Amino acid sequence: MMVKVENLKKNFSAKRVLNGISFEVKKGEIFSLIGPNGAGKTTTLRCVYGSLKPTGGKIEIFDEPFNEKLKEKIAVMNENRRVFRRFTGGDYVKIWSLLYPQWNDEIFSNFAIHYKFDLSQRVETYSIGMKTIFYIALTFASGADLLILDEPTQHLDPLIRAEVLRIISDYANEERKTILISSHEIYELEEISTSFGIIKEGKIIYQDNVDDAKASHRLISQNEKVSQSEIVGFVGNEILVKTNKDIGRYPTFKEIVIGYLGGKEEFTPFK
Amino acid sequence: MNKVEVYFIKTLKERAGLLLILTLLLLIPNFSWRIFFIFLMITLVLLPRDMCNGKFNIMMELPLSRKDVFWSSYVFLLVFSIFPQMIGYSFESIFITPSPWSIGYGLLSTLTFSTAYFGIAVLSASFGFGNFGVPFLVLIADAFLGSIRWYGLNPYRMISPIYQENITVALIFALSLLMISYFIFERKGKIK
Repeated sequence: MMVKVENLKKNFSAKRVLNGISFEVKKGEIFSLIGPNGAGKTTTLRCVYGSLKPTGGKIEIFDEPFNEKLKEKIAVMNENRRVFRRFTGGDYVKIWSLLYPQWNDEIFSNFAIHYKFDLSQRVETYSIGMKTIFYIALTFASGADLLILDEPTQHLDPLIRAEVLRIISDYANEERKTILISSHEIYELEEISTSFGIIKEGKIIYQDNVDDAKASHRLISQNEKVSQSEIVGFVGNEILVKTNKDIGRYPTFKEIVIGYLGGKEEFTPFK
Repeated sequence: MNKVEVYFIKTLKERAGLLLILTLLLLIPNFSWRIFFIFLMITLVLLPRDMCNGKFNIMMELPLSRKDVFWSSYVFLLVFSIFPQMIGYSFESIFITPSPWSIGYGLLSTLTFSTAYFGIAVLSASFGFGNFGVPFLVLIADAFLGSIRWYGLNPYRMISPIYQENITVALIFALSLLMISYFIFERKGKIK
């Protein structure tokens, strides 16, 4: 197991942000952590790569309890694309190549040429989209076994977004690297994820393989009778149920996520 | 070694201007001025500042541990506080020849002050009290408490990082502050 998180808890002062997160990621998987803003995705990732100390629970990376020596095998792209002041692209390449023993200059150069990075320019002056691409280039060239990408396609135009998704997918499939993604872009995640966890209010409410999740859920109309099925939540005028019975219709990945996140309570502001 | 180098590259790049000015000012062969400029370096250039402006979080995204960052920052402080002083001594020796004892004592005083206030500033930042305000109040309180004398006596002056009346005791006190700050920093880090 590449990542194993068990009953992870995190408090900020008296406020509990993570309330018993558990999930597992196998080697070569692209695991997506999906949830609304403020659900605890970024906090979970920060605990996994050791930026935050958990209040409770257990984190294992590469089958051993998390320790800071393992960080050489983990490459991180942060959510806000924060960068060091006055650092040029070249400075970043220098420090990443010093810190990652498996750094691959050729991969970075391929990105640099394709996306026309100006390595003499300060990274803080790059556009937000360019910073995202630059971070993606750094993480892929790091040679790390586990990539943690927080909102990797945010701020990218549709063409580059599609290209980046393909690169992420190829990287995991061809290089057998594990990628942990946090995002709320449900459409994109379906394209590349092998498994996913839905996070809501600091808890993983559902975790599964994408194909198995689709096979084990059905969408039925509101007046349809169901038995031996677990009602998950509303998706528009339909109800998402977890069942193996051949009823209703198969849901899309997006509908499964909406069903779990929306739950059984409908929001009716005009009633 | 790479990790220390990365910290040096990062700090030299980000704070080049301020660092250059402070290094030049640290050439002034006067202890009071020197400790003030070292105080500015600790609070405005090094780890306590990184903990408060989010740069520490960026470092934590890299393969650096809290231990690496803490000790690299401390080594940086020692290099940039003691080297200018040594250069200052070599200039001074053109006009007067300082005794090896006075040079050694001077360097030890700088080490004691730097160590104590690095610990204080890291503690302040770890508990969310900021990198400058609280350490500055401590500096003022240190100066004030050390200046009071009761019948010619003031035990606090012995351990005071500013007055260092007993250099050995003051150094032990400074090292204790450094170790306490390290353990709290290791356990707590920055909670932001």
